Amino acid sequence: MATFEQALLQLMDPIVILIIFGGVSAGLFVGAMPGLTATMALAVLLPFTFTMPALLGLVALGAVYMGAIYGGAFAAILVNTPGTPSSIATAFEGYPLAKQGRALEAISVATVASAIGGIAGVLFLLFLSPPLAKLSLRFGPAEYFWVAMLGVTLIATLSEGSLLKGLLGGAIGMMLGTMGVAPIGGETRFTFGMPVMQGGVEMIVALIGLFVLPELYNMAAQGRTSLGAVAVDSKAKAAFWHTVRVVLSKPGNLIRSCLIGEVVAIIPGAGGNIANLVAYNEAKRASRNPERFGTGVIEGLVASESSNNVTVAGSMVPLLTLGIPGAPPDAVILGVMLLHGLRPGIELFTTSGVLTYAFIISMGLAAIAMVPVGILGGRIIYRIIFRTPYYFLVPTIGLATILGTYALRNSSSDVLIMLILGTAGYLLKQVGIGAAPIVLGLILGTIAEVGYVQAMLGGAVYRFPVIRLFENSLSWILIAMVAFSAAWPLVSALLRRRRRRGEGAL
Amino acid sequence: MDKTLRTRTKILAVLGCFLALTFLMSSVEAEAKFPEKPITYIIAFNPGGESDITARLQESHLQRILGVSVAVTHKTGGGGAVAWSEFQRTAKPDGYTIIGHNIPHIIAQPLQRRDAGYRTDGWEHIMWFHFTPNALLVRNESPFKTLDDFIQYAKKNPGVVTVSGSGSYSANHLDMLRLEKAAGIKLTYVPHTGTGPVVPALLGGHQMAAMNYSMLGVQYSDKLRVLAVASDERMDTLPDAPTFKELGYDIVGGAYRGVAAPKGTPPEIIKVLADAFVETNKLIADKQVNLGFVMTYATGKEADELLQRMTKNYEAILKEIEQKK
Amino acid sequence: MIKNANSDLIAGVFGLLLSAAFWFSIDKEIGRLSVMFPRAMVIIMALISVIIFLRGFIKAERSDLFAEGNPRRVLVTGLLFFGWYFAITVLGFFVASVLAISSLAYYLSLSSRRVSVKVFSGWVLIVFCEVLFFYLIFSRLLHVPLPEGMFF
Repeated sequence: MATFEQALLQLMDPIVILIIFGGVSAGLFVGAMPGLTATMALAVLLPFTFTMPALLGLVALGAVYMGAIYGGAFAAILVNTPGTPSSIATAFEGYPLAKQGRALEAISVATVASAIGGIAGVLFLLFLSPPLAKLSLRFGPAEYFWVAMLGVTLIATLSEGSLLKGLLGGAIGMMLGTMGVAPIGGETRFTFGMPVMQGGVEMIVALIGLFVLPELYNMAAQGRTSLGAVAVDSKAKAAFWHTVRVVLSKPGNLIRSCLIGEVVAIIPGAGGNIANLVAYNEAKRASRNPERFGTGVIEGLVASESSNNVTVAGSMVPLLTLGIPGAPPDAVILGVMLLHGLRPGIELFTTSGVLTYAFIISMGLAAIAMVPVGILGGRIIYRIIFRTPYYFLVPTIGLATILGTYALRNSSSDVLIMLILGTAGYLLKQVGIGAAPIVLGLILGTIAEVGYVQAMLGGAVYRFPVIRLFENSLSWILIAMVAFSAAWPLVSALLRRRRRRGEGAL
Repeated sequence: MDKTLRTRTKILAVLGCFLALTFLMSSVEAEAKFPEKPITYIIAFNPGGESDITARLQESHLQRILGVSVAVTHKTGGGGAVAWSEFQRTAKPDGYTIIGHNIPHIIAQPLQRRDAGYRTDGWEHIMWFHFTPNALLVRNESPFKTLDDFIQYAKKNPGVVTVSGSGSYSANHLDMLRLEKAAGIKLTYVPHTGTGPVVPALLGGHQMAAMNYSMLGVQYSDKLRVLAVASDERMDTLPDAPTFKELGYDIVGGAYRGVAAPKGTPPEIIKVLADAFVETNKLIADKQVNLGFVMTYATGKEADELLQRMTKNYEAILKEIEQKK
Repeated sequence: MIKNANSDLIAGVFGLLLSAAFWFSIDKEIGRLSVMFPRAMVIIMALISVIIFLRGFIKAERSDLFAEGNPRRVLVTGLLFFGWYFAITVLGFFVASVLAISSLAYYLSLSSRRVSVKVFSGWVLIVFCEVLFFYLIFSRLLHVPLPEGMFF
């Protein structure tokens, strides 16, 4: 326990506190801008951390990461465009709330949920690392494939209209993901004769295009923003303690979402991008009135924002214990650690124990710091967006989007891809194919492909390589979850119909 | 009227002289001293990866030695091909844009892809600064204690042994193929999307072995066992790991990382950059060696020869693959 | 606005066209590992498209297309965005953005207010500062080399 106390002492330094607040604010800004992502922010911060002592550098990175995942909620709530992929589900409930004039309330809820999630992630990391790390290692190619299939069943929840069109969107997303270099096999596919297409469609580029651009087109079409004027009692509802009470009033939802966030976080490669969608789906499923989801249901918002912040510290379980980055920002953090001579593994918790524990605790502090920064910043951002006339808002968001897309890979062709996808997305929305299934397909496509092909290769032992997909016990658990998740919409529809018929008969 | 015309002509004349002078001065300046502006150092892979970390380590020393700021930028995609093709297409040969490049990627990709967008010989090499030899690794719990165990088992069970590695037709893959050939065994190569995913696959027992870089052996010395290393001599950081060579298999290979300038860059400028990189390499040597890298100092002619040698090595294997298809 | 369009037919046709485009660009000589997954996906996508298409004949989902607001403004906005992109490649990020943002702001404001020359020049100044702000942050602080065109 001495290490623990020493770690806390290290954090009492005013410089550390300053860095935490600064990092969270910077992260918030980055996350809120559609186009800038957490990974980008960390990559930019990286060179600056070289000249800093190891602890300060790591604290800064952790704070920015935490702030950025939280910041994505702002864009999702106010402009219906997730600022980072980990806030896709936040828009589903956050934006309708904003339209009803309850934006400030939504922001408060997102803040509290994110803070609680962040702290939960830190607690998981501190106390449950060893068993979680072991669990993380049990995910092999077959398990990855089934996790991807589980993701596919989410499409049912996410399709705004017919399930079939949602599936088509998912398929389109997966096809987009195959463009470029094959992850297994290394050959280039679907470049249509352009060497630059070897880089494929980057997920963030598609995310920005498919979510932001249709929203901008909508604003242009309607000649106004969709932010409703502030409802009468919304300011009171947005007050901090009231919000805390609201969020904690449904503890089941909160606990479940945090657990989901943690489990998804330890699957290297899945990360926050999927966590918020799975948590949202579960919240919807557990609710007594799932039809209400999409109209501004607070539990949905809580589910999304708490689970994604759990992944910040949560995905560091495999990172710190085994050196395996759970999500792209972790790769940057790993790089910094290696540079300072910190090697993941037992050493980290013993020889460099003070540093490691200080780093972990600092992320918890960052989560707490998000509250004042968020509530204050949220009000300012809200006021700015609200006061800006739509004819300035559209081009300015366009500017942020173009910059963010370009900065991702220093590629102007990415900007063109973003515009094309965005315009196509707007048109597809008219015929009932939404953006979320397409983006989900894009995310899941690579995971599914890598898992499937690797399993097939490993299954060379058998006459029918497919058997490899059914070898492990973990695979079977996942298969059961997939079956359950796929069957649920049909089962619940049947149950509801029977219930209604029963009531009608009375 | 006359006066105005004369004044105007005078003004024009002065302006003309001024312009001529500026032209003269700028052309003289261009010869005078390189570098004067900031240099852009492009990395074709993700931040946090080995190429990126190396560049960051080099950055501060380069800035000090060259006296200008060196901006590291990333341009990922296609396993490096996106950055390399754009570089060969658009970068100006004035020494202010340089790019990190890797063997065998720049050999294998143009040979193997329909249109990688760039040529293996389409640059002026500044330097190859380090080498990460391939290594055959298994996890501690594996029944294979030596390379011989591994080969004997593979001989009795063709195609059963799964070997993971980073990328397809990459250094890992190609040396695995050379091992197959040299030992007369049949393995199943399972490509992964980078060095990162190889580790959990190995640790979790999902793959039986890995042909990856020696760095993993150094970083995970308590969890992984190195059966053999593909270098000329035993590595100081892995004293217990035999080389393929000493066990009788002539396999020396791995990834070389280096930096290049566009074709046509003047040799004097290349020399300035090469000297800077050589000095930097010496300064960062201990940090890198600790992480498992082997430093190399191949500049100028040596650098070209290295590339040609490796190209010959890999061409043979790649041709075989093409024929088998 | 297109009233009561058969969105199923449209979606189905689009899906089939996309499947065809992908199917026919599969390289004949591509290796087995690289083509396994995409080939399966194209077939799945085509199947789903066919089902949606057929549903268009049986029990179609009909909806009004482009029902919200004025579709012509969407078109012009789209053209301006693409124009912005091409302008960046020719004129460089800074100049292109100032022009594009000003034009977009002006065009979009037409529907709700009159803009005098004086007001517009004020806007251009604001836009100039805005682009400058982002330009400095990205190029100086973050070291992201923004596209340069004729000017800088």
